[in-house]
Amino acid sequence: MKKDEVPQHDAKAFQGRKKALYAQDEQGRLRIVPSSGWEAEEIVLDQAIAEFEAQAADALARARRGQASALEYHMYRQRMDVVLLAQSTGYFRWRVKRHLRPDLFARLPAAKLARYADALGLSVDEVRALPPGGP
Amino acid sequence: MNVSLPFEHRQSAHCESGVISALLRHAGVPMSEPMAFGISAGLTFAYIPLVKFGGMPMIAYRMPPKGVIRGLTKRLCIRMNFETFRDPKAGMAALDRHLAAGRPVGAQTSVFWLDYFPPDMRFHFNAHNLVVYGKRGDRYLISDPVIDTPVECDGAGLEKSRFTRGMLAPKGLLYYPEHIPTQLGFADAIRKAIHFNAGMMLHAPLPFVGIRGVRYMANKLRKLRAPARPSRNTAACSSATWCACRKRSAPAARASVSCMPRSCRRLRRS
Repeated sequence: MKKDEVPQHDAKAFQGRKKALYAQDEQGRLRIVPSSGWEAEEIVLDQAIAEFEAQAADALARARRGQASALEYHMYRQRMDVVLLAQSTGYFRWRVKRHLRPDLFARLPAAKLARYADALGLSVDEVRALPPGGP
Repeated sequence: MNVSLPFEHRQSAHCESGVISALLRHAGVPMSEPMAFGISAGLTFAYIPLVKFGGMPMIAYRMPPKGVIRGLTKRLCIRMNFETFRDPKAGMAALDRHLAAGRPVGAQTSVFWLDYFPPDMRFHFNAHNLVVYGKRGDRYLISDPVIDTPVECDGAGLEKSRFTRGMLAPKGLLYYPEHIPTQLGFADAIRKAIHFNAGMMLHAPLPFVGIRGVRYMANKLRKLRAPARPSRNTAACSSATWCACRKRSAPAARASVSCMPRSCRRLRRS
């Protein structure tokens, strides 16, 4: 890739930062050229984030109806899934899945909640609560 | 504690080769990032459908994490010190001791908990590498090779990053070159690295590594149908597009190979 062919598509996600790419300068030597983003990458990244947001919104709606636990909402909001949450807490996957049930989640002892809170980087109260608003 | 060690920050395309070349430059070894990557013979290709990241098969174009550091230091006979910790507090104390001793250290971290990363770029990817070169109050001074300027991160965030669990858990890994021979055999190391690389690409005994891996994946791509649930597919593409660091876990490759912009748009419309 030539220096002036390096994509400069001003990716929103970079927030003004640049990424280093190697490209040829006038003398044909490979040099680091700052790139402000590449459209293809940005599309994929946007879709990835949209997917997490859709899952979180879905979980939130179900949690408000009492069909899901707040834990499920926070899990997606922190860009995790059941596998990752299981790995980060050390619980088995089936156990995490069980804890996603609202009735069982409501009965979770503080120690287990603390483990989830720690893995999600939230406080215990935050893990229990849903964001304000809604019905 | 207030320490700020003199450390030259230079942005690089990939975190591991960036960190190890920066640490060696700091120790007085002339080493660019491409040279570090080359001597490590870090370049490879592997398409492993059995290993999935977020539901997508793994496409690797570099050696597994630590491969660059190990390959480079092995060929140049540099002895590295690696430390991992069970207790996060002990891990942070060890980091402070290194800084107090005037030694910048490399660290393996997750990306998600580093507050200087733009929020949209934070995913749970555990094999990121950075250099800690100082501390001001509770904030650590960090030279992150994929970020264009030196940055800072608060102690709690750095601790969480260094001690996340799950796949490729960093376990608080810290490393630095412990012994560097006075005479570095560059010529020999380069020759051996090229030889190793060529061998791996051409004659790897596995059908999904090297040039056979490229062909295997190309054939799979040709047979690819639009997935029934496009959203699932994009989620997978997701997990790691942005960071050059993720070269190994393939998401970047996914971005470039499986989700060219036009096909992505088509997926979106459908």
